[in-house]
Amino acid sequence: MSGELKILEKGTIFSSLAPNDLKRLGSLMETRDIQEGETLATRGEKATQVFILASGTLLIAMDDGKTAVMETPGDFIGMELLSSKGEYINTVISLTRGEVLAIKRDDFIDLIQEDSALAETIMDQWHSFLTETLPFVEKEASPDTEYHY
Amino acid sequence: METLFLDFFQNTGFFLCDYRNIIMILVGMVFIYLGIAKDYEPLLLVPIGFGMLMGNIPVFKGLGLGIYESNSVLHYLYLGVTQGVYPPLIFLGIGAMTDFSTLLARPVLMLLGAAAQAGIFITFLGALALGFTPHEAASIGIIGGADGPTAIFLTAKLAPTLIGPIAVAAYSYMALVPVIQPPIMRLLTTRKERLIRMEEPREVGKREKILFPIIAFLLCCFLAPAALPLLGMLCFGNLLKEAVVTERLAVAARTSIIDSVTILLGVTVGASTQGDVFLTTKSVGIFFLGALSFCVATACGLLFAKFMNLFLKSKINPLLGAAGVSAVPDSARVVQVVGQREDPTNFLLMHAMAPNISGVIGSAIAAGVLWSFMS
Amino acid sequence: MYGIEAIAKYNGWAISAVGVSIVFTGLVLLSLSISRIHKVLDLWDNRNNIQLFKKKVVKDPKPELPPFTPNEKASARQFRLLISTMDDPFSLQRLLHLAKISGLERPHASLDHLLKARIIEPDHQGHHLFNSEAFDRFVS
Repeated sequence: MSGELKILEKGTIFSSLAPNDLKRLGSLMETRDIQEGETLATRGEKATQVFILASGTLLIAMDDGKTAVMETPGDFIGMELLSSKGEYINTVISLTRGEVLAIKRDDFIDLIQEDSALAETIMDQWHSFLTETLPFVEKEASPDTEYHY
Repeated sequence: METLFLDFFQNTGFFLCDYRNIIMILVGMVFIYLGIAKDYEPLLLVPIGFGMLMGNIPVFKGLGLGIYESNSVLHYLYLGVTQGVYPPLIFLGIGAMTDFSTLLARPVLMLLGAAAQAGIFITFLGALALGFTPHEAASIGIIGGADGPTAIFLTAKLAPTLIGPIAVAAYSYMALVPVIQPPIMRLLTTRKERLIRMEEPREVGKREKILFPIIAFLLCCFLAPAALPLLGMLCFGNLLKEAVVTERLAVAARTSIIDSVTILLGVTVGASTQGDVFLTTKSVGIFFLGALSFCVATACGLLFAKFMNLFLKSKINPLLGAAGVSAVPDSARVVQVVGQREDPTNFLLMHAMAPNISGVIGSAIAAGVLWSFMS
Repeated sequence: MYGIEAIAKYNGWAISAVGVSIVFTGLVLLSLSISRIHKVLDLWDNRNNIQLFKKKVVKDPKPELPPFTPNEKASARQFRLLISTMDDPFSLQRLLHLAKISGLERPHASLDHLLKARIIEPDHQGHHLFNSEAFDRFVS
């Protein structure tokens, strides 16, 4: 668990969370090995998990041909994946072997809906992260309004 | 039997009566009339007025009835005044009922509350010049703060023998705010100035309101520690109000506590105006200087507002300066009335509350400063 | 004693001047501090968006990539060929798709290798660019 928490602390999105919130988040995660070429999420399929990169490189393929590459431990591959219908809106492919921390989508949504302050912090951080790292991802697709279902 | 009747008659008020008691009873009746019929500060003038009646019933000395006899019930109640207990409790209630939003929205208006306190120090000089001792002069000057509890508190500390006249003068002039201030306001401002409209104040957040009493208390009391009893209770009361979780305490402070203390304070201050103690040449001087102090304080506030306008981009209506003399909320209401006489659609009340409340803080600091200088 | 004489004797001028100054100082300080409360609170609320207070993510300095093996060089050349058939900038996912259907060996790992060598660089708009300078350094 401590290794997972360290990765969470490293990530821009979760670095500002209080230790207790980090622990809660950490308790929901399970470590998953990923293989070179493995598809973690496929556009249009039922969204079951969101991911935090622990090691390796992930390619996020968006439906307009745009692509993002995640390679920093702690990078969060989650909200841009989710649609209001509970389907993945992007495809995630692993380019190398590595590890991700997977959180069940429902657990994650429950967590941020139960604690509005935590949700606000995560959303704020998420928006900053998108602006800095993935400026081409359309903000309106963020789950700010999509989680109310 | 004849002797018994004679003895009894000699102990009645009719026999012991002095013309000064009659005068003070008449003054008490005027107070009650002003409070009930004219609605001038009724919560204060009615208890003080009735206290005057109580204090001027001629009593046989030694029976323990008069307020100045150490074993009388009135004397015990009066200890709250002479020991400075009641004013801080009243400040607790004022704090618990005051909304500082307007002040937080435009803090620059606080300077008007500071300017009006100049009246206190000018009157202090006037009182010294008229032959009062420094302690008496400081107590007289504080009347210009137009804040009854503060005036009583400082006088109890510096010149306890003058509590009666000073309290009566302070409350009388506070009640007469609607009569005293408007002519000075019109004299010192032009019509164009009175027509100035104020900008809409910004919305003030809950956390700001919670932080304000803590910051104000720490800052002011570090600067003038002698203001601690008054400002401490004022800020504590306000914190109780704004914290929400202490609503029960805030309700108690702004209802039962302040009401009970106002009754005790009003009645005992009124009773302390016993004719033989009250009707002296000093009292006449106090009333004259008190009126002067009030007028000077009003003028200082108005003139400082005009001075500020020389530097401000967004001009302030100088009438607001008159509200710097505490007398919450009467002087703010007067600003509203005078402003609306020129332009019925101009609402200055909420803006005037800012200098009005800062006047309370300013006069408490001034009292603390004078107390520490005189100690 | 009366008049100016009395004022001077009891230090009246000094008491008044200092008294007014203290009242003004107190209220000016209070006014200044409360005028800042909402700004400080705003700053506190947005502390995570302020660069100064942001916890800097210390990125491990990327280790120098070892020289490309002959296989890796061959793969890089094939990728260059594919890229030359595409728009500039090009879609990375489309390149991966082309590499897969063209039967390139370990297309995912090769692509990762090119990304790490900065031979393929993001244009920050969702597409990627071919860096021929880096290609020449590692492959030629």
